[in-house]
Amino acid sequence: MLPPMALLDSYDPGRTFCEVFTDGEVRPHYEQLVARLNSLSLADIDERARLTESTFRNLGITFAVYGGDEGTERTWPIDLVPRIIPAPEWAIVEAGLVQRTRALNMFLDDLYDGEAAAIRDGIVPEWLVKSSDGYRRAAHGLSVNGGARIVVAGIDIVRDDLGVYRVLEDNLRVPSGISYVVENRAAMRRAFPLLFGQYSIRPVDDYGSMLLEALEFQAPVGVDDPTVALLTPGPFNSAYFEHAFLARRMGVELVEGRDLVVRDHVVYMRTTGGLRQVHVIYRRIDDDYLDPVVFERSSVLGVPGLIAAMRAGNVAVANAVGNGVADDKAVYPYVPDLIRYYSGADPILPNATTYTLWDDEQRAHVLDRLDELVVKPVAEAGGYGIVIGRSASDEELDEARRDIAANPRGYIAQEVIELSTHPTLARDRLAPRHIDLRPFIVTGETTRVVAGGLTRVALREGSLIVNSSQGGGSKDTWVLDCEGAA
Amino acid sequence: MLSRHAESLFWAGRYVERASYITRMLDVASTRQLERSSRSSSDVWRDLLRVLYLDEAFAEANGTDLSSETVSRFLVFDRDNPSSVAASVREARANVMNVRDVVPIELLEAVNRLHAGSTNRSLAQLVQRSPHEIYETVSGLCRTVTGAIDEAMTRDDGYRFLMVGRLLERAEMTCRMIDINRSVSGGDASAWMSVLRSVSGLHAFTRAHGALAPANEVVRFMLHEPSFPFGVLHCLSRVSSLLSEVDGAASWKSPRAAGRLAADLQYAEIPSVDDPSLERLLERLEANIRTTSENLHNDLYQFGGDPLMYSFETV
Repeated sequence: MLPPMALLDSYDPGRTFCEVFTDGEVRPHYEQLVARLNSLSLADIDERARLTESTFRNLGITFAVYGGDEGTERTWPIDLVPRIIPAPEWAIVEAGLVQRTRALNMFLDDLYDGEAAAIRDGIVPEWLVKSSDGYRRAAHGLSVNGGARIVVAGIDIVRDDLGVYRVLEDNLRVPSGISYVVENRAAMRRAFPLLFGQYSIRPVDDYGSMLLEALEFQAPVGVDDPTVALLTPGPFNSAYFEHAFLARRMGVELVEGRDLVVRDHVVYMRTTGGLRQVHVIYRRIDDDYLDPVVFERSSVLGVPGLIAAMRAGNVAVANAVGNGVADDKAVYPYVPDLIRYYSGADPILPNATTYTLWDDEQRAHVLDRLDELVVKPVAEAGGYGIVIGRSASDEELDEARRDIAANPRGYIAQEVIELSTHPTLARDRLAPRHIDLRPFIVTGETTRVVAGGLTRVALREGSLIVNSSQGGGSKDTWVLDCEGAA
Repeated sequence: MLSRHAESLFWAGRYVERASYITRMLDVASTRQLERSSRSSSDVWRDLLRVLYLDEAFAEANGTDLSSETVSRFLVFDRDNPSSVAASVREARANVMNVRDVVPIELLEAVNRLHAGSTNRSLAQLVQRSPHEIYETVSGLCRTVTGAIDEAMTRDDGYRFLMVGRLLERAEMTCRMIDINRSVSGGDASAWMSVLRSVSGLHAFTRAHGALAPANEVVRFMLHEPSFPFGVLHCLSRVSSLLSEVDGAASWKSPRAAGRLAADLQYAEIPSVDDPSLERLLERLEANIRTTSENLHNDLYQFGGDPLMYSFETV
């Protein structure tokens, strides 16, 4: 009789870059994990997955999905096979993220609170900047301590077919996901406690203090013991779990717009004991809803008079207003040049190959090869509106062609990146699924990167869309303290 | 603490207590209608619905079908009935979610378990065969919630608002419970014993007054006994003292209203069960409890932000 087959014995990684195997060999940093998985049966892992899901449900670790039934709540999906990044590899990614975030911060500060040198020197066209959906005239002259306009950045990176880490997009407004990073780690500790003895993994659960420190750095001049509050749109927002999580971890109040009031350019919270001044607001609502006096008039989520209070120097808001201009996908192709311009060095992490569609030559090239490329609307997030040429129908391609012709500024096209794959629990086996990574970068007095980040995984076979709003899952991401195992 | 948080905690407390109390009342009524042949069972259910102010809503949803199964379904599982156990649990959970950054994880977890457990399909299938099992399950889950409150919450203002919500709801429900039994069972001592059993008070009462005590003694116990956790006086005195401990409450109306209410009750003559003035006393108590709740709402929002003052013309 043959011995029972171990889980990963017959694993076929396919042709794309595999995080775990190379030429049939296990990469050194995955050896202990593979050995552990091979000592388990699928039923063992299923049982742990069920327990994890029930814990998440009881703890209310969920996210809301828009569209369909409003306010539909889903339990956060985690795949129990962790992704592992060895220290030397991470060192490069980390340096690249710090470099990129610094340049983007400098660009925004230059644009809104400086002389717009990058425009003057022809690095990025003025019309492109000023036609961006994320550009906010009202942000001009709003100073930010240390120029830290992007206190929290989420920069999505992927690995291509050669294993090269590339930046796919920047999220510089209200990126979410960090709470799931922390909860995924806690879930893995419960599910595979023994593995934690075999690996030396950098911690992620000090995020609360990291963020609070950066936010307190934004306090108005002369305020020694600032009161920080987190502004949420409320329980119906898809990321409400995260808002509550962060407020709890930082020990600050979670406020809604109606809890705040501006009197004489000072922001207060309404408490049972009276009005209490707020000095720093970590806002998790979009610019448009922040202040109905300045932006969207009908918004009840925001605080009337907030922008004026900022201008008076009585309150700081993080992330700063108007950051959307720098994560506009049409500005993204210029980021490598912005990095060179502000840091004087070449970008450590390359972009994906991208075509701009208002350029006649590039557009013609793209329209010729539309069935091979990916088209993305510049202002959408969450994986919405993306057309992947090779899997799109003729009608979808025609529609994309029409959309591009009507509004070339509104789209970009990119070469398809065959995202790296990772063994992932499928229905009856471990199977390769595409993954990406969203690291979180926090800027206060200095710029720091949370070790790892949120690995998102496309749970459907062959799918390149990893967003949780589109049925994607997640993995705990281990950055090792040293090259291999402990 | 934020006014909005304070109010959410207050309502979380009220709804948890309401879910648990409705379950208790159902258990009593369901036992009564099995035990008593002298009154038809539909009369028992009609009186219960009337005391919960749900007789009209029930008739609208179910017509004249006053079977035990239909009433149980309506009061436990019907999400369209805003006073059902399911709806109360949903509201309790929504309010706890509003303050999930403030309350301990243990409470959040217990409320989620209550929500999942009380909306479970297999539970609804017991409605005909074994309604008592439904009540046992929901009561058990409610006790997990109150256990988490007791064990994991810091005794700060948040705890006080949550407890005030629970105690006001409980005081109001005990008044209604006395009212339902007064009208259904009059002076029948055994009926009052099962009422006491449903609020975990039978043993304490028997030890204090003996197994032969008359109905009037039970009513007095439920209204006046300061050591009885479900007693109206006990609840109101605690509300008054909890509110007066709140930071900045010296100028508030609600602590004084609660204190006055407790004092009034303490010195009131309790009429006998067949005296119509008992009904009037109970009605007055209920009305004053509602006023105290409104006073508290105004106290909480005296610095603005009252959601009732908002217009919802824009989204």
